[in-house]
Amino acid sequence: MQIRTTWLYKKFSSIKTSILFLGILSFFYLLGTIFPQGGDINEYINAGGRFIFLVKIFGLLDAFTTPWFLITSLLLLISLSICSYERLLTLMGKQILDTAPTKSYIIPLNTGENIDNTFIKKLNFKKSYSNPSATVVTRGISYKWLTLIYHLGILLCFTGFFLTYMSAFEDEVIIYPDETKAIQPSSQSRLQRLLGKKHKELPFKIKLEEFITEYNQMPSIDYPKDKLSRLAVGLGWTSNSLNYKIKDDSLFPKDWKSRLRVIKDDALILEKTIEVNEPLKYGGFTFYQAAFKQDIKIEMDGGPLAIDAEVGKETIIPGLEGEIVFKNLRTGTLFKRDGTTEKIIPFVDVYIFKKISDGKTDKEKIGRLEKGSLLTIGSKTFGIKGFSEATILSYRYDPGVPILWFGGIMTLIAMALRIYSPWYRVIYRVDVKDGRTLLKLSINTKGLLADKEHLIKRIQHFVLLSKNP
Amino acid sequence: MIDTILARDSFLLSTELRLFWLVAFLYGVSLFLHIAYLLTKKNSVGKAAAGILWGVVVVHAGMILFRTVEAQRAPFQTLYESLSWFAWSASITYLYVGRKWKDIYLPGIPVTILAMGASLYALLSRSPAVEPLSPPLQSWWFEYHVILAFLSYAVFVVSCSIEIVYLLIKPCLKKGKSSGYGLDLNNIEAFHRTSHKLVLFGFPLLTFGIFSGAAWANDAWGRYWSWDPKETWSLITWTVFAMYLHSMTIPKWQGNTASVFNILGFICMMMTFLGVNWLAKLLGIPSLHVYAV
Ligand code: HEM
Repeated sequence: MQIRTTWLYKKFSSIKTSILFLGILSFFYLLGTIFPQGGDINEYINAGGRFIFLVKIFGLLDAFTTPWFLITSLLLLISLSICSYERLLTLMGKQILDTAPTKSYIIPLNTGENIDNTFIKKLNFKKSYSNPSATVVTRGISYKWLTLIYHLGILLCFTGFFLTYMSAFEDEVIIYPDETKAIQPSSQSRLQRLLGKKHKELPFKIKLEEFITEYNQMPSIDYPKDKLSRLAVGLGWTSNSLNYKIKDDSLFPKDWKSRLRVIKDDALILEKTIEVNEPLKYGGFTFYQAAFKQDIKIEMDGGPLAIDAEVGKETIIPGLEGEIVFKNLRTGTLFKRDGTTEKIIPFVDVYIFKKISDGKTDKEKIGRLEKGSLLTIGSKTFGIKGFSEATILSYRYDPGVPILWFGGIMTLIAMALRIYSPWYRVIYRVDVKDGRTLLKLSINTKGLLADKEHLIKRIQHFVLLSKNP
Repeated sequence: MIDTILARDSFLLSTELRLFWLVAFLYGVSLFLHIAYLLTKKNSVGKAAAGILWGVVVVHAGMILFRTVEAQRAPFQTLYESLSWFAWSASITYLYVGRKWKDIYLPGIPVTILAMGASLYALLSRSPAVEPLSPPLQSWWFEYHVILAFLSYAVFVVSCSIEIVYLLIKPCLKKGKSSGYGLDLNNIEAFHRTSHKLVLFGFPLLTFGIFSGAAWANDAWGRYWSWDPKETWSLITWTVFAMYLHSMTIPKWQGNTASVFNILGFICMMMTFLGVNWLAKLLGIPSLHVYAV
């Protein structure tokens, strides 16, 4: 093994080098929190960003894909691999300590007592080895193996990140109720871009059976904004502002759910209701409840023609000055504070946006339009003729995730065991001096739960007990 | 019916808020006594400072339980709540760790400054209203994520407080002077070792905090890591503490180098918790990823 004796190899297996690489990485992370990641340079300049020269040269708006960052990560990985390999070699080799027991603890001892027996049978130690100068016994999971395992776990996590970096891609699909949609990803992973490949349509379709929205009734308080008034409220000088009230806009999203079906060759494969935090997994893909899209049909002056509008977007209505925005279409189930539920009569809030000078717009709420009733704006009356809600699913293919989870769990378990669980090593020898038998020992512990004093007491307890059987 | 419920909720909220002000005030009293101890070196004053802190921790625990009943969910899900939890967990960790110390009270100063600061920040800058959780927050990951991350924060606070006291007192002792604060050449190293043990204790918790955050983000947003400033700062904190733990395995670095990493780790932790956007603002650099807590 020539390579193991080279300067570079030794440097890479040094813990100081690992600290250096970790330090450089932290610096990159820091840059990533200062400069808006994924941002566009023009946007950055317009928003008043500084250090433009540095940002352009070093690609600081994408700090985590720059060669500098990737090379440092790679160097840390190499160091981690070399360290782990070295540790493995040490662990596989025969571990003989040439340390004789120190004189730390000398206990008067009954000559008849079998010390090996005391350690192995009574104190649950395992014998590592014995030679004329000392016997070595240990208890607990070997901390060196645990250290190796969690460093390997970290290595696995890095592998997971790398797989994600190279092969993950994501996209979005909008599906209306009762619609069965073929999925054609338009984005590519880095690997695909490198190989110049494009996605085919996925071999299954997704059908939306139903889209469900639920709201909570959210009572709110008129808590003052300024700090002195807050102090006054806290001291009880005024408490009105702590009274909960149910206001006009007290509906707060509780959940969005999509009842989905996975369909392959016209056969139903899977059915699942997904919600935020509860995605659907199929065929290596994960589908998330990302958002929803609402469209509304508005009738004007009772006429037969309907105006189609997307909720939240500006709509021009002939005969009205400015642009109308229908916001916050609410429909579905309301969970009330008193524990009851009720069906929401669908409604939207109507705003008018008027352009004033300097490209600024003036926004004014006109009122609420409820299904079944009318709202007058200017000389016109409006009503809701119909509406629809489509689910927006984001989906992602990421083969790095299972490796990351595995590596993460491995790291966590081994690290927790290494750091918390007790490990003891006792090196001992029985000596006879001045006609007295002495037990000389030295004790080594690892793990926060290790209790050296307690072990010494236990050893004393057994050894002394055996004096008077 | 609904009016009765709202009246009850309002009553609970105002009771809780009064309790919280009392708690913040008592943290202030404890801080005042700790500073008096610093100036007078009288053990009786130090004892009183620690005694008050024990008292406020009990009242604060009661208040957090009260909030749990009031909100009918785990009480650390908004910034108002997590600041309160932070103050309490740092104080109780300090008292627990120091329970066997004899006449050492100095680490109580940074701890009570932070506890009082966090309580006042919650009271003056955040609304105490109990609000339903938005859909992304309704995950069982959330509670574990927050509770363990905050436990790690608490131990890092105490570790850093010990580290600061060590760095200030050690030079005096080296010059042969007595510190007068219950620390001498016999016990200062054992006292200092506690800060290493605390970081060791906290590190797996922080690791779990980050890992569970990633698992949760993967379920809620469909991506386990987005390089959002809050995420990135947590990674910086984790990396700096890993550097600290590594330095502690190098005998020559166990003195000042490791101590610097420990204090740096604490600063990064505070950045993760509260200061995420502060740096960007300070440097006049816009951040697109403003993280709304
Ligand atoms: C992402 C990278 C790494 C992380 C997060 C990490 C984390 C840790 C942690 C938490 C400890 C525990 C300290 C203790 O038990 O007192 C440790 C110990 C150690 N690490 Fe690392 N480490 C990393 C990379 C490396 C590398 C590249 C090396 C190679 C030189 C290395 C070598 C060691 C050694 C020798 C120990 C002491 C082992 C012991 O006392 O059981 N680590 N590491």
